[in-house]
Amino acid sequence: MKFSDFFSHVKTMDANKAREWLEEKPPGTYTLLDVREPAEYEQGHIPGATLIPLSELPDRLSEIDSQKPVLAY
Amino acid sequence: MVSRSEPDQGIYLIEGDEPPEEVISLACGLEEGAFRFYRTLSSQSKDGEVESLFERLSQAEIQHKEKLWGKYKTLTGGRVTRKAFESDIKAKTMEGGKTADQVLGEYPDWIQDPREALQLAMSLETDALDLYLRMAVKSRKEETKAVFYTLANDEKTHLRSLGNLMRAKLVAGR
Repeated sequence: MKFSDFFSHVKTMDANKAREWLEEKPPGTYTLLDVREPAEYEQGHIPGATLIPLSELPDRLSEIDSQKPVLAY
Repeated sequence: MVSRSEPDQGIYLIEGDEPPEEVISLACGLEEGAFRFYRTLSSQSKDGEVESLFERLSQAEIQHKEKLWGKYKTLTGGRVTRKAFESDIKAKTMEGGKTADQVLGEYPDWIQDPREALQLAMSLETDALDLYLRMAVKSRKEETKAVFYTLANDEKTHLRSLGNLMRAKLVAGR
């Protein structure tokens, strides 16, 4: 965890923690968000990830279910 | 395991407002496509282990289809006969959203090594998991979403058992 994380309401986790988190949660109870570029997504992404590149995120926020936790990478 | 599908791969197969029974019929087509694909690979294989692996995978797709038929019967209150249901299935695309020809084109040499065969199967199952989850997100009906999430869970279980098999192979190969 970085020092700046103490001042943010956004939690960060490493790859192993994220894997455990995804294993525990039934599909449909969270949003998995891939904010990389389409070419990076096509090279490999976590199954079920929704692609919204960071550059488009401000305009596409309505596509994300605000009632569910979001895991972004 | 990661999916290498394109953002819209296979997603064109649904509009998002389909009732659950319609997506079950679609999923059965995808299972049927995967069954035929694994069957082809099994029949073309020169390695006994690879042949039996693909045969087992093809049988798993049949079981999956049976389960879907059971769900379909419940949803339609038994009004549709098995024959009518089967005739509605279109098996042009496989579970991952690609056609069998597309995948075979990417693997021009028949897979003969058990580990490579497992890798191919795992990547196809990962694409299937990815597609069902993306279809769930696109679906606007809660009941339809639930069908996709059940299918995704089944693929997850399938993938886990393939992963265990791969680990056993890697240990045995040391």
